[in-house]
Amino acid sequence: MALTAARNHFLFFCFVQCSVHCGTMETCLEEGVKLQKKTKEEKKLLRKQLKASHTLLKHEGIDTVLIPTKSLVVANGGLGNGVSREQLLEVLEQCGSLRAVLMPPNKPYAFVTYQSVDAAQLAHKTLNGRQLDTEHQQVTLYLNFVEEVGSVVWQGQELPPGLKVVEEFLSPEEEMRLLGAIDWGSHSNTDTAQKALKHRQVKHYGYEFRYDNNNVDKNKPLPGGLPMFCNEVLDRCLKENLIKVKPDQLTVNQYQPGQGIPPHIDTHSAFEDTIISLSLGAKTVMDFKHTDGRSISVVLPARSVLVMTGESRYLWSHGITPRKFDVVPVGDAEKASIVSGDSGDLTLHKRGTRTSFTFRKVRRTPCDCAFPSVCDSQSSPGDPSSPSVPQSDRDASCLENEFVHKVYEEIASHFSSTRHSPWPRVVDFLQSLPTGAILADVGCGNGKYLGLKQDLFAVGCDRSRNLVDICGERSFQVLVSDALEVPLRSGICDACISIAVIHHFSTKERRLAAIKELVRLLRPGGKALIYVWAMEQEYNKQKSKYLKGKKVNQEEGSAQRPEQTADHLGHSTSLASNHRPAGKEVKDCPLTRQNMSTLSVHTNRTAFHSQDLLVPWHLKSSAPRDKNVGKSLGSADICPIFHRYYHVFCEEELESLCGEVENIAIQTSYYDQGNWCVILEKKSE
Amino acid sequence: MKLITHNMLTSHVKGVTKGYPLLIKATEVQVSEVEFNPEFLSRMIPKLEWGVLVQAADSLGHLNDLPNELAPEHEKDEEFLRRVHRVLLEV
Repeated sequence: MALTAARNHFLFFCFVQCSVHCGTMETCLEEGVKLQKKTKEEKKLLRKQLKASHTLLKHEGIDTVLIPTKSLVVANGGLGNGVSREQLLEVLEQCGSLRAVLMPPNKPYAFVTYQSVDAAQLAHKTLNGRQLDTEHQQVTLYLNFVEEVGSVVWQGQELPPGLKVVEEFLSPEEEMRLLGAIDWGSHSNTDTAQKALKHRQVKHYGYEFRYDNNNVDKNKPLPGGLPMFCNEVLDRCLKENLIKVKPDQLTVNQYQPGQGIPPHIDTHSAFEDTIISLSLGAKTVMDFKHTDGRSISVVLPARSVLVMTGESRYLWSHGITPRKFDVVPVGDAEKASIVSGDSGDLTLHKRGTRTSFTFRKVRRTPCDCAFPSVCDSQSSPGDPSSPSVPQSDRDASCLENEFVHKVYEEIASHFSSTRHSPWPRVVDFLQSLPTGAILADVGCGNGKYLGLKQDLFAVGCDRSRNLVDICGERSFQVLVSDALEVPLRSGICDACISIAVIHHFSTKERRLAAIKELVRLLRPGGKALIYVWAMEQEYNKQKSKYLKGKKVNQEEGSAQRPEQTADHLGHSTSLASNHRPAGKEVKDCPLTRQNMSTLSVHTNRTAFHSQDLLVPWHLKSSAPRDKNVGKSLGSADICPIFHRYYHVFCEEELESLCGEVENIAIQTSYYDQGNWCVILEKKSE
Repeated sequence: MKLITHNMLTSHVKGVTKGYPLLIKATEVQVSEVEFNPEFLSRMIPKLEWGVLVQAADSLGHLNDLPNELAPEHEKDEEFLRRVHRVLLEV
């Protein structure tokens, strides 16, 4: 039986009045069997019909009755089975005149109420076991009586504030002309930027929209500007007051049936208020979601223009669920409408290839919208997703907990898989140590330096439990420990290394304390090697491998990569906030943030613009995600982004910091592939 | 955790002047062989807290006849070094 209890986010807007039972179904069934001899086929049908009624009761709370009524529940005859309203009506009407047919969205059943009990009885008798061919499968209908079907009065839904859909904005000729103007075949055109995303094809004009930072390079317009063929339409938009200024950026998306776009808010700082989008070729259903959970699905007919301004542009996310059929209201195909839960008025629409032209105006000043909670231009006090440079030790500790410790815990496995090439000059330092030397690697990560020299005793520590566990699996001697409080005896180490660790401390005091802790561990004459990420990613006219990472092979194996190699592009979530996997709530960190500058989010593989920043990590999950989850999101190309806090060091900053530590001498300092490095020696008492 | 690592641990609780030796609560004691390196051992032994090692080894039932006091010229005694090797690196 193909009846499945499809659980989904749509509310179920039908209810069925409970009936007074007359004995159990089983006893009635037995009586029925006794009364008339049934064929094997009939018995099978009866069994399935009974099972359907059980399933409906169990999963949907629909109580079926045995006494004939005017109403029936038609198991497998639902929109969720791919049965359209038209198809179902055709079958149901054979048995008599109908009063109502309710098809709740996405459910594997429907309700029918006939004008008379006789008609309902006829349907019950003749349609049970009837097979229907849908697009994907053949379904078998099972009908059971229900006491009464009521429909909750649908409260009229309104479009999100600021949203407008203008039907028939384009003539069919204009539609053809615009569609014909886009050449999906050529990739060599330098005036545009084209990408085949996993779930759709996309072309950019005016400015390239970058899916890594969900923004545009405002200083790098594409040479062609907006194409001429848009002028007529844009002029009309201006004339009809849909837009106030002429847009300068165009993104053309092409969606095949089954493709979609994940819910997103266009980055506030990237574009001005009004965004307009033409729908060409076929209609689709766009889902708008408010942060409070409200969700409104809007039909965008072909040749319509969607206008998003104000709240609908800034606060509501919009997206297209990847699927081949949409549940739409019955009626005029060219009409824009809200897909309500009115199950008396819904049917299925098969998607066709839809092309959208989205016009936006690149923003030149920071966004000052009225929705700071989702605005990347506006810092929002108390929102841990837009943290500031800490002022107190407590703030610093909170920041590091949220944007260093927790992040490494989450990304440990993926992080570790990108960290297996030891940096050559660190190896040199380790090789210079004598047999029997004691080495502490404070912030050892996945332990790639712990097993490099066999005749050392190497002990590692890291703040991340998951990374320490990875080391443990490699049989290294490791501890979970904060670099400010390493539980090792003072003066026991012949050498310490701190590779890419101290830049994660968010105040100067804490960075200094981390160096002092290394020195505490050293014996007199012992040496510490410290690497921190450099603000200067271009030094002596040489770009670091981090900057060059885009051109070189981004897969594993390059000798030295202080950062993640492959930026995982191709996703298009552009919510300004830090993305976290579902279920992981961001705990409020009681940061005091008066007069603080908000940390900016760095764009991977570009030069740094400030010393204190958040660096995105695009998590690629090695473990296969739950199939169903992946499917329902329809977005294998979405990966959660984690932001790690960094303080990148300027030239001589590391040396000057070390200068504040007593009892040491800087033996040497150097620049190595985008990192500042020192070797310290602890003086004899 | 190897006993050599244990030998280097201390409590970092503030106000504690001597944070070691840390008491061991072993849930499972394993012995796994490691390559013997006499030079490594003879250089390592002077850095150890010998008393801590003896106490820890004893508590695990792996004292392996280690003496309470280090003998002079122990670094030339290979049999002794092998016993230290076992306790320090293999338990």
